[in-house]
Parts: sequence; C-alpha cells; structure tokens
Amino acid sequence: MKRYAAIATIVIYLGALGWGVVSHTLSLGHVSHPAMYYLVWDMFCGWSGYESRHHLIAQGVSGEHYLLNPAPWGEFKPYGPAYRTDYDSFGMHSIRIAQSVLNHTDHEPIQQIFLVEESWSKRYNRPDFLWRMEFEEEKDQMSYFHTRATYNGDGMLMDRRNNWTTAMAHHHVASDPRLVKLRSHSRPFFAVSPNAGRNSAPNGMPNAAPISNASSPIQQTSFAEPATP
Amino acid sequence: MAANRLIPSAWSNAFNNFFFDRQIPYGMALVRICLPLVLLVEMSMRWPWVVEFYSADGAPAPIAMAYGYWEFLPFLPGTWAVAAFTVMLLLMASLIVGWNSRLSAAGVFVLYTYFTMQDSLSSLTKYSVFSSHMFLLLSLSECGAVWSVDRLIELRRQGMTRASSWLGEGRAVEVWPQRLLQLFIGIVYFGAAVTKMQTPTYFSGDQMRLWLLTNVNHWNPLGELLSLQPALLVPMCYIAIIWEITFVFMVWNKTLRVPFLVVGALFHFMTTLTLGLIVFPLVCFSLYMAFVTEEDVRWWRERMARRSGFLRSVSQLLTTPYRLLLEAIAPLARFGNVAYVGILLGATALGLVGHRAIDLYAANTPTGRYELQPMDPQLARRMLRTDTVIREQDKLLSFDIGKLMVGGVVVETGKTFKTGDRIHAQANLIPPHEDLFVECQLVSDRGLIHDQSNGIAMRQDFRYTFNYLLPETLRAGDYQFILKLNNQEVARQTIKIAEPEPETAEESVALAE
Repeated sequence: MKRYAAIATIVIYLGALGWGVVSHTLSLGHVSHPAMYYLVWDMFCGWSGYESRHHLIAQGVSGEHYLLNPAPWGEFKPYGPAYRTDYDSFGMHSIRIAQSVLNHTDHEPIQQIFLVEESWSKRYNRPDFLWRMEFEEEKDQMSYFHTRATYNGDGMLMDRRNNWTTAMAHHHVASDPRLVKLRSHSRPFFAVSPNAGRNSAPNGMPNAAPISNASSPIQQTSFAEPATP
Repeated sequence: MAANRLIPSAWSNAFNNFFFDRQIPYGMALVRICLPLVLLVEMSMRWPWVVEFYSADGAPAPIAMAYGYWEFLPFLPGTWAVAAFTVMLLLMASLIVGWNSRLSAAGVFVLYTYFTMQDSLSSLTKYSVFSSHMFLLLSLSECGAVWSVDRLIELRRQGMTRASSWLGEGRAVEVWPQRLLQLFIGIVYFGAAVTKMQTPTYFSGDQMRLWLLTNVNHWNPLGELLSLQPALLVPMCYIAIIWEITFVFMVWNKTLRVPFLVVGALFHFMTTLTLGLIVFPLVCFSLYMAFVTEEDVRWWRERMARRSGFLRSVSQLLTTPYRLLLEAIAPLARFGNVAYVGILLGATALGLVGHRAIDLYAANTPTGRYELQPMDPQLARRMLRTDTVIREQDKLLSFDIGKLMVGGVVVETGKTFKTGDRIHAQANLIPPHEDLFVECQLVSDRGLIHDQSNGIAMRQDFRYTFNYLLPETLRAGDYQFILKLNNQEVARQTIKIAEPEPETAEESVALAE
C-alpha cells in the first residue's frame, strides 16, 4: 500500500512538473491559476532598456502633495537598492502600500493618490570609471516621469496606464501620420460597464486592465480576461 | 512473447532501482540542513516587517491577484501573522537540527508557501518557489534518518554511545523523494531553457547585456564590466542554454555528473558577480546537495582520514558545531513532543512580545503616530508631469568601433587601426525608440569630413552598423567617428590611424614612381 502511494506521488508530481513545461512552452494555460507560478520556470524572461522606480504621491484636499515612499518608518530593501514598491511591475499592489502608509500616519484628508514611474536609460547605470572607458561625452543622466495610475482618496482606481516603456513604444507607432488619420476617421463606440456583475477586482480595477506587451501584440478588450502577469 | 514479458519487467526493474533503491539519505540531510539555514537568515530579516508585508493590517501583495484571483488566500490579522511567521522560523531551525524532521518540513512548507504567496513584491521569487518544492519533498522523505536529532535519539534508544559521530549512524531509506528532487532540478533547468528559446533577444546577447546593467539586485561589478564586451555574451548564452537542456539527461551519468554539477555551481556563482544575486545561488547550492551520494560521503571520509592539516581542520570546523548542537538538543528531545510544542509556543510568545516592542508604526510611542510631511511643490509638479519625448542620447547604449564582429556584435580590441583595415562602427540602441535616422561621419583632427554615411534604424532594431574600408589616402593621425541620431550628435569615438610600416611605405613609393 505504501509503495502504491509512493508511486502515485511520483506520477502526480512528475506529471505536474511536466505539465508546467508543456504549458509554458505552448503558452497553454500557463497563467490560468496561481499554482502555475509554481510550475512555470520563466526566470529572467523580461528585460527593459530603462531602469525604473516607483513613487507614491498623495494629494491632500489643500492641494499639498505628500511622498508616501519611503514610508516614515523606513523601507525594506529585499534584493538590492530598490524598495518594495519598485518590484510592482504591473502597478497592482502599490495602492495597498499607499493606503497602509495613510492608515498609519496623521495627515489631512486625501483627495488623490498617484503611482508615478521614474525611468532612466540603463546606459547611466555604468559606474563613472566604466563610463569614461565607453564614452567620450560627459555623463548626463535624465529621469523620465510617467503617471502610471491615479486613485481617488478611497483608493478607487480612476485611471491606469501602461508602463512608460510600453507607453512610449505605442506612442511611437501611434504617432505615425497615416495611423493618426485612420484613427480620426474611425467610428466611435461607447459601452457602459460591459463587465458589470463579473468578478471585478476590489478598488475598481477593471477586468480589462489595459496592459499589453510589445512582444505580444494582443489587444486587451473590455471583454478580455484580467491581464496576465 | 518472451520479449513482451521482458520489456515490462526491464522497465519495472529500472523504475524500482531508480526510485526505490535504499540508501542512507546524506543528500537529503544536507538539503535539510543547508536550505532552511539560508532561508532562516533571509526570512528573519523580514520578521520586523511581518505586519506590513503579510497581514490584513499592512500592505500584502498576493501573487494570486496577478492571475485574477482576488481573494485566493485569506489575510491573517497582524498578531496572528506574527505568531505564524515566528512558528515558521522556529520550524526552520528545528528542520536544520532534524528534530521532528518531517513534521517541521511539512509545517515550513505550508507556512513558507503561504507567506511568500502573500507578498509577491519582496518575498516571492523563483527561488522561494524552488524552496517550497524542496520543503514539500523533504516532508515526504525520511530526511532525518541521518545527521539529525531524530536519528540521535533513535540510536541512543538502541544503546549506541557514540551516536553522533560520523561513523555508521545513518539508516537506509527509499530514495524516491531524493530522486524527485534531483529530477525537479533538471526539469527547472529545462523549463528555463524553454524560456530562453522564447526570448529572441537572449541569443543576440541584448537581453543579458541589459540585465547586467540593471541595478535592482545587489552590487554586480563583473556584470557592468562584461557589458562593455557584449560579443563575449553571445557564446556564453549558447553555452548556458545547451547546459540547461542537457542537464536533466546527463547528470545521471557517473562520468559527467561531477562536471555538470561543477559547471552549474560556477554558473550560479557567476550570477552573484554578474547580476548581484545572493540568495538565489545559495538556494541552488543547497539543492545541489541532493546529488550527494553514499559513495561521495565515503570518499570524503576516507580522504579526511588520510589527510591531516588544512582540509581536515576545515571539515572539523564545519561539522563540530553541528554535532555539538545536536548533542545539546538531544536531552530536550527526550521529553518528546511536549518539549517540541513547548519550545514552539514559548518562542512564539516571546516573538509576539518582541514584535510589540518594535512598534513599527509608532502607534504606542509618547510622540504618537508619524505625521506626513508635504513635499516640495516643484518636485511634485515635475514628478506628476508625463514625459513623452526621449532625448536622442538616451536611445544609445554604446557606440563601438572594432575590426571583428561576433554574432553581429562588434568586438572592441583597441582604438588604433591602419589604412586598408576593414572596421565597423556600431551603434547599439536602447528600446523603445522610433524609426531613427542614423548618420556616421569620419572626421580628421583638422575637422575635415572624410566620409558621411546614413541609414534608417527601424524601431525594432537593437543596432545599426557602418562598415568602413579605411582608404590608403588617409594620413596617419587622430580621427573621430561622430554618430548622429535624428541629426543630433550623440557620441564620438576617437581612433588613431597608425603610420604605415616602413616596407609598405617603400613599396608605395616604388609603385608611385
């Protein structure tokens, strides 16, 4: 009996690992359930030409702005110099961090919370001595800012955008005069809450989160499932 | 008919030999000791932040949300989260010494997986996933059958006096959990290779070059240095993927086992120097311990018995504290599960008191809660402005000049050339960029333009290369390649054209005459 249980465990375990590889290879159900994170081996699958950091800014009813990270009690740096918020690549969890800071501090009533992405070209990540070996020009780093998401004072999502590099890639394509002309002639379509009643997220996050990826040109629509991680 | 009978029997024998052989589980014992040791240190650093990262009172970041499961696992209240987290740390400690090994492993598996799933920002990574798998397999194995408090008690019950010595204290058990662990490692590498195959920029070295320049992990000096020579990355990328694919097939071969494991260990060690990873390679080294066999331990013991000096001292330095620790805990373990549970409860209570004393949010301090301070309005305005134009110079990763190209990437070996040389001036670009008008000029130190070439780098291009055959008419001296993107100068590279060699000069004169 014990032997049969062991064989069953071996078969189930190896079957699950095998399914993970097949699912990942064929992009078939690889993001269907959180358990798939434990079966898909996509380490270092992404990359970016820009280093980015996230800032949480709250705006009080007086118009004053408050930087919420680093939190007044300090920040934990899990894997290097970056804060916890900086690893929120889909901009999904930062609002909880903002609300936690607001819940545990004294402040005026808040009317808006912004998730701001700061990006700079990775060419500037070279230390100075390597920069001098690579370039004859002076190092002149510039940060680009991009409001990734806007929430109201209660943490309800008001506006959400792609990350900056994806937004810029789209901008470069969409600013093509031919596409601009075609778009201006397209017929507008208005839909009100097409997903009402479905399992929408807390904080008003829509099911059709407009996240897309330059390497996988799949347009998210109002009827699509939630954005994949 | 005979063949029909033989084949299933052969398969079944092979299956039984592979999975149900009985061995002393030294490999699993080493995983049991090393992995929780690494994670105990790592997770202890998160202990002051438990309420913030994992509880309903803070800001958890569950991975399930990214998959569209909004309430997949319940959030614990702050106090409960602290208690459960403290229990997890204690179970890791008991796993290291092998006290109630399987129960401890099962407890760590449940709690560690729960906590890491609740914090996808600063606790959940692929190495935490590996660890969850390991704890599951440890809980299925008899990993306490050697080098553990469990085994020590077992031996003392049998009346053995030198129970904790290195000699003959293990008990042979079925190896199937260890085999699953070994297969797991091979399948992970195979899956990682599939990921790389699906990433075209992996093979051109571009993805790796940008990772080497990323600063979200720890200090990575070698990575930054390597990013200067992207041509080196191309063969390294191919070697890595070939090794990853073949690992699961080759590591069982007696001759190739050690070379494959050594290459793997080097590979993971290099990720520390090049990518700044620390815990990831340590977790992988711990997993590699699963490949240690009885023969390896016997070989090591024989070697240590023969040798005296440095290696033996190191060996004793590593083993003696652990042996003493087991000896110290063994008397406690005699009281059985009462002592085990008592220690868990006592330490958890201490943990709760300690956590209250830390008071992360300053809720119980005389000065009261923290107060938010307004930020500089100018800075706020700057940060809330969305930038939609990228400076031309920020689209350039590097401007390389060289005579040799490997995998489409220029190898820079020096800045001195001679007339007649074929050289490449290569602009390496950073995405995203629009379709770019790229121009390259060759200018003498007197400001005279000797050549001007241009072209279009498409938005998907990572590089644009200008090929030159340096004409014989160029006099020796300093020259500059000037790179322009969209008509704006973004980089210069100075090169030197060397004096022609004397023989060549004489030949030229003779030819001219």
